[in-house]
Amino acid sequence: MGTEDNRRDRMLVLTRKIGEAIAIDDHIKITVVQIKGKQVRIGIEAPKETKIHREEIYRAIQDENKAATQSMAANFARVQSPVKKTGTDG
Amino acid sequence: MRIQTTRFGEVEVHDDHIIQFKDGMIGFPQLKEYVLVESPSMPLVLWLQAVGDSDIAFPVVEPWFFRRDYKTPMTDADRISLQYTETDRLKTFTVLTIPDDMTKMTVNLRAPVVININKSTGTQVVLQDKTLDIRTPAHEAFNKAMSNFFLTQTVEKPEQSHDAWVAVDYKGTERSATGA
Repeated sequence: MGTEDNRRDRMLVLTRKIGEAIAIDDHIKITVVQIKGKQVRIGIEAPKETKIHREEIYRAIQDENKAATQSMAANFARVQSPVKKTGTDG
Repeated sequence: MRIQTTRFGEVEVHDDHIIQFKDGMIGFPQLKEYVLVESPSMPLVLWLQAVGDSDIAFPVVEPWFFRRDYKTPMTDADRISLQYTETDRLKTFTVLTIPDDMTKMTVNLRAPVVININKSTGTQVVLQDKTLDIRTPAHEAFNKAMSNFFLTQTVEKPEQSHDAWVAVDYKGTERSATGA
């Protein structure tokens, strides 16, 4: 929550009407396409190499990646032990 | 060169083994170089080990462990990140999360890692398919695939996984170019 608040302190907030846009640098344009109740449709024009994701998904993947890096190789020992490896190399 | 790893000790790495992640892994933008390390104690599981941080490694397996029909449609941004051209060979891996309780292990089917073997580049792709879960229970399927492997030493899958570009094991022994 703390980071949310900090982020809001630094956030630039602009009011836009439908069809109006925001330019970010020379290459990124964000347009308000439609407003319907509590939902806003937003159009994004950006260079092809820009990766654009819904934030909650991106955040969830960040968290999961962090969890994945906590995995230890030793944990596998428990899976491997019941079955003896019988094969040969090569 | 030798890199230090928390899990495998010192690992001997050749320049060809280093995979460039232009954008890093998601949540780890500062780490751009990885190697795939194979641990002999657990075949089929590879560790995507960060070159610049000994602690950071992602256990990965190929998606056929969990899905027969897994596809990874990529965006232009993904292709650019991989410097992909049509003749390049790509390999897809899914990231495992392995807690102390192995039965709770999960696989991230939503955000696979794609590696361009020809260019030695990699990227983590975010798939649009909302039915793919970031934390898919994986223990049963994983055990089944492993048991098959240990019992028969053959793997039910289209192609062999041990390519020359899959780095080295933790003893610092390079895998043979002809594969396993």
